[in-house]
Amino acid sequence: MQYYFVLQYRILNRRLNELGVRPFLGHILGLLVFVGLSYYLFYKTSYAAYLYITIALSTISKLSDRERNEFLLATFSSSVYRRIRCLENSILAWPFVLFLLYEGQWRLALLLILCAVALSRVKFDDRLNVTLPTPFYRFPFEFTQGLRKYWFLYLLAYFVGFKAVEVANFNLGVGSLVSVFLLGMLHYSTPEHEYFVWIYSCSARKFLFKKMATAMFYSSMLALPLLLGLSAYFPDKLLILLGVQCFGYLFLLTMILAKYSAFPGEMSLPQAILLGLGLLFPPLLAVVIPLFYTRSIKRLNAILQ
Amino acid sequence: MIEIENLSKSYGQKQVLKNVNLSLSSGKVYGIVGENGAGKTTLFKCLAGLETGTGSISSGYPILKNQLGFLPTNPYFMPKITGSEYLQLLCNARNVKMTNFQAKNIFELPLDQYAETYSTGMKKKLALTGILLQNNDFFILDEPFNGVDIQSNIIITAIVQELVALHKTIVISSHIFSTLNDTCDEIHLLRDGAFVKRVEKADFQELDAEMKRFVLGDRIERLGLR
Repeated sequence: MQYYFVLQYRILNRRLNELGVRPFLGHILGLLVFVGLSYYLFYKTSYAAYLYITIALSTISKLSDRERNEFLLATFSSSVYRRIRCLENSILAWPFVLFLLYEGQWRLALLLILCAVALSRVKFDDRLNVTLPTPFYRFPFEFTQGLRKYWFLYLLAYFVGFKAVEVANFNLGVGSLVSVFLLGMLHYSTPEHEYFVWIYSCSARKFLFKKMATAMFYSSMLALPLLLGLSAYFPDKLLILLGVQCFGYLFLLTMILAKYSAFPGEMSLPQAILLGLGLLFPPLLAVVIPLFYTRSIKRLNAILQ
Repeated sequence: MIEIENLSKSYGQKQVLKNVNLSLSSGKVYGIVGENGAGKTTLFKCLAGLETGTGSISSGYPILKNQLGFLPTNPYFMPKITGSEYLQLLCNARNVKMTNFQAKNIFELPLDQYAETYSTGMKKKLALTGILLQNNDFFILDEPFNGVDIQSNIIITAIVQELVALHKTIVISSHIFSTLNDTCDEIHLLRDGAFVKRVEKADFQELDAEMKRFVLGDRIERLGLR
């Protein structure tokens, strides 16, 4: 059992190494980000404790994946399996529990630790057999996959857009439009298997343009209802809305280039920082986009030629 | 014609392929046999351009991989993508215009279901259908018969024979000798990263017997089963 946890620790460190971060630094950074975000959440909303519990439980529930649990059960004896599951759920729950205690929410802290232990006895099957239809079947796979993964977030974005019109809050409407593009960017955040690039019989340049054209077409399909709705109710802000839409496209294209600039690996921390800086300060994109484009061509040429 | 000359590949200190030479003609089926770790998959990846080694691989095509259908031992599938979307992706990648896959679904796969929920055999059949729809000229089938039911094995054998009739070049690896016997024109034995034997169809049974002798040796006696 002890070796299992040593192995988990090694896996975590390997992931940090792959991200280009020294494990020791990664643990400290992770802790700082966790505490910072927790402070921010409790500072921002009065419902923070409940949101916090939801985030904690959804994180812990990832360990209840059926396939993973069946592997553990097949590998270890029943009693060791139960101890492992109980211990790993508790380890994951402790940072949340400690912060709740710090905030004086001892009842919720107790509830969280009890739920974490109870969840160690549950197995979830997150592989749904129900196929969610999408309008993106002609050009798979990013948006097809993305809509199926994050359909509820898209619904939320449309709901926020609807509310923006109802309460005549333009900024809220802009937020809903931005979130559709952010979700689009999320679909390009992880690299696909090398095989799915290798199968293309075209140049690296053409491959990138195909990917970008598909992304623009499908993100337009998702953003258009919001853009049209908001334009109809805020006609005097049409130029701003079109500006947001254009920046949305620009950010989406930057994300695609950033992904393939590290392909087939994941984006390294310096690349992610460069992307973040470009998004925070758009004039920087004039440097970031050509840089990512050149690197992407180089990376893709190695696979496509 | 595809010519592999002096192909070598190393991972760190370990040399996986050692000066491999092979000529592949169109309209022929080549079997590659060897123990696990002999270098079969590395050879296929080098042929596909997914790995780079030293030596040369030449063909009449400007870029060989654009005419190549590669069926890996364990085909890759993305989560939340249906069987028909997988086929669409493979067709789009080779500019093959096709949208209705039901007519081509000869393995009767549930194309509207997520491919990740398929069984091992169904995944292999979907991946094979995909590379067949791409209209490739050259095929590498890495253990196409593994995990597939007997009925589908019969279909796959018939597909290979049809591809030969269409003058395609096929390289197959299999651990089931009878499947190679049914499909191959010649078999190459790979041992420790080097080809040690080339056998034509007339001598397949002799090769089978020799492999059994070499592999078994006195291993079973050493076990001392009682």
